[in-house]
Amino acid sequence: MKRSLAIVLALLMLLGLFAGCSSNKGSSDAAETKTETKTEEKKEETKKESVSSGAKKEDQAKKEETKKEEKKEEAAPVVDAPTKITAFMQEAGQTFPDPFSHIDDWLTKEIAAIANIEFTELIVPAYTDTETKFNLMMAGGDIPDYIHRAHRPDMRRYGEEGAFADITDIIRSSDILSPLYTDVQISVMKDSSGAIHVLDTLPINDDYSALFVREDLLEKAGYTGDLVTVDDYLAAMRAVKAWDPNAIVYTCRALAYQQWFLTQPFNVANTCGWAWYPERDAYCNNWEGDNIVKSLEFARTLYKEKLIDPEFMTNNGDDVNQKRLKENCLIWAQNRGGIVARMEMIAADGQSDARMIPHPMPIAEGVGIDAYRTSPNLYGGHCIAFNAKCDQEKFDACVRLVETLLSDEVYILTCYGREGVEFEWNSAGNPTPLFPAAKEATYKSWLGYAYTYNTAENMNFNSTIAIYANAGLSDDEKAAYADKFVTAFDKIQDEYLCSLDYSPTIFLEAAPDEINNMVAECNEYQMSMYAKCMLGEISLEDFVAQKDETVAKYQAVTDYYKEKIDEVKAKYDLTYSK
Amino acid sequence: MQAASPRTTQKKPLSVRFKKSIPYYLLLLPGMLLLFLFNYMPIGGIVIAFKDFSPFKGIWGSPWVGLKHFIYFLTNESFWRVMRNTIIINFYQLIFGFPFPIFFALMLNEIASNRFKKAIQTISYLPHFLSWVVVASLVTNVLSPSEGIVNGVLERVFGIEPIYFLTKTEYFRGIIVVSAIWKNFGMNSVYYIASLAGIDTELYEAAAIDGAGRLRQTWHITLPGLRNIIVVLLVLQMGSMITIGFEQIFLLYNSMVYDVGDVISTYTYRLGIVNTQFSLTSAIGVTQSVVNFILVYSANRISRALAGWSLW
Repeated sequence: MKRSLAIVLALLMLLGLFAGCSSNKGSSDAAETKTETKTEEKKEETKKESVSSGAKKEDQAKKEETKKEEKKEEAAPVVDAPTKITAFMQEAGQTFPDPFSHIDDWLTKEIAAIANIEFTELIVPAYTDTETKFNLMMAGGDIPDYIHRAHRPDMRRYGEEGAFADITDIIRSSDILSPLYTDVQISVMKDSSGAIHVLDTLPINDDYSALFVREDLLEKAGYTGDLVTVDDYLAAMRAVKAWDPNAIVYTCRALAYQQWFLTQPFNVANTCGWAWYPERDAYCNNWEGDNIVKSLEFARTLYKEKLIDPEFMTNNGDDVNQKRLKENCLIWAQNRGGIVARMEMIAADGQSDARMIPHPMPIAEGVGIDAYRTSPNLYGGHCIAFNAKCDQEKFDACVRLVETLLSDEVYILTCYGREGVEFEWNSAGNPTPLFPAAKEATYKSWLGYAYTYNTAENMNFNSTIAIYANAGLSDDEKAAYADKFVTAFDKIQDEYLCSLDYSPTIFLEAAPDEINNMVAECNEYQMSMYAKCMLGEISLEDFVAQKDETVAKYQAVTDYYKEKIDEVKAKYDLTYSK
Repeated sequence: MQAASPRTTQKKPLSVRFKKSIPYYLLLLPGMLLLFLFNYMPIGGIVIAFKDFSPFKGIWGSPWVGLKHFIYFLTNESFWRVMRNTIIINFYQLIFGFPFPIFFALMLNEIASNRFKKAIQTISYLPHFLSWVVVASLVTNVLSPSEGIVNGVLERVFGIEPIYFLTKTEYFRGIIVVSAIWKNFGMNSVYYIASLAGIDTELYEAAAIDGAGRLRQTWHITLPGLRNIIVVLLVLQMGSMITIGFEQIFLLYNSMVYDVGDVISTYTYRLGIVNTQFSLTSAIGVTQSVVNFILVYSANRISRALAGWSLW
């Protein structure tokens, strides 16, 4: 009896031990579920006219306009059986329905059917876990067939080291890809071997960050002034604080996210590190000059008067969300795509009168104008790559997936949803949301896997859904709010992008580890010093005394980037005239 | 009188003994396999500390760089900062955290009511089963300057202005040590409670007849009875003096307290996982293992010299 019990126990322990050593393809995790997707019939040709993405370069936009008049073409060549592939996708911190299975989602299935593929594994880690998950997978040589991910320099390095397939030829040979990429973009995608191993996603300049101001709170607090200068903002924040002493007028996640309001009005890109300053035509340490001190004085005022969340240093993402939703938060520093999702949240929270209107970042006097202005993107910032070990069938399937994602048919699907289910075309040829399906499908993530960021059309459509789904507003109020939101954003967009060529920083290759380590060290130190001074742990005088010393200490990094930038400026003939 | 003949026991053949012990070997097998798979097999990978490792070139295809990574981190001031923090926090945990479960076990041993003793024991174990994510969230809430209970008491009872504890360098290490003690003292006391159960109760009865009070009994019977397990755990703890758990620090620290809170594990996480410098972090890991081995060996020798008993 004792012997047989011991054997059973030992076997159980052995099974338990080896359970962890099984292939991860058997994972049943919601985000990484393996399912047997059925082969769906190839989609019928869409009869609806396509719309311009409005997100591509100007010359491409004209082409898109022409396409409006044409019937939809097939997105991908037909093959008999769907090819099984695994994929890794980087999502953008979206809020998905709970529970949510990426692989079982209708949109995933639609796209897979069009591309004639079958996802045997679709890995979409939570936004904050993406880097860890991906780097660990790569370190273990566990490379999915298809990869969509940020961190371009790392991806290029992995590509050069042999992790990814050579895709130089597919860009030129693909009818869908070749018109979308310019010679400069193709040239930039080539690595030192002259081959392309990672495909840069297409640039979109619509989903930028702004300040979203709760106008309903301003009304309640009796603030009727403008919101243009830094002093205007201070007055508005004080008014809201006086109206509700417990209000968290502005909050951020430590000094790492949503903290832009502290520095950018003072022409400082961030509290730490380096940035490209077009006005100076130079890549500078953010602590160079006196603007960082002006920024700190402002930040100290906010902290002293409790106009900023007194616990911002220990906030996580969820803390920020909750405080914004619950604590009468006046100013939300956020990208437009992110704010649209939060418009739904705040209405769902019962605050149907909450109205967030986008405003440009204020500019303090005498600080220059270029910090918050950005150059047009040359690429989307994310990359697409195929596992170098893919056989020809899988390689072709990966190509089909890229082409499908960039097709007009899938653009409409990812932007608006299914015609007749999530939207319909009105008589003017504009998409109109159909409730409740439209509201339930606003999480759509595949647009981000194609372009990285949201397009203006997509965000206008989703903000319209958020506003029109708000049962607490009358039809007139909905119309006025939607109109004001979109108009304000368009205005910012016009003012936001300056007439510069591409920023040279986007041409830079991955720096050597020694430089990266110095950058990380400097960032940590500067962030720490800024926070300590802001919270009064050290005086402004002490900060000033250490500021120039720090800039000098890390001058090697500044010099390294200056040299590299001079090289790319010469190579790509970049000039900055503004 | 005939002397009793000594009982001669003949050793059974190995095959017989093995057959008889098969159930025990089977029970041992999973543990041995686990040890072999995860502790011995990867040892060969240490070689990447001496190479510029790329996962795609493989261990043998990556170029040999000798001691480059060791020289880099040993001459880097950031490394010495995190090394200092790791040692200081571990030292605090040794001084305050190590005796705590012993005191707790001794106090628990003195409780007469079995039901009350069990209830206390269960409550003290519970935090051990909470993940650091939950504990860090609790700590953040308890120490919150606006809603935290600690600041609430300080403000209402003592009239002290709220303190943002988690951003103060002077409090951070204390918070780390106290939260670690709170989370683990219940579970760590299990070893001592188990050892206490093995002490012969007749010793206490004899001591009581001789007039020894509670404290005398503890000093002369209980503590000597715990000596072996104390030495074992002390030697093991010494073996991780320059290693500290990652999650606790990572979840509680922020840029205000990097000076005192950044430790080797958080540093290597940033270098290794975020910046993908696998060779550099392996070099740091190898150094940690060597130092930890020296510390374990030294602690064992010291224990043998001072207490007359050691782990091996």
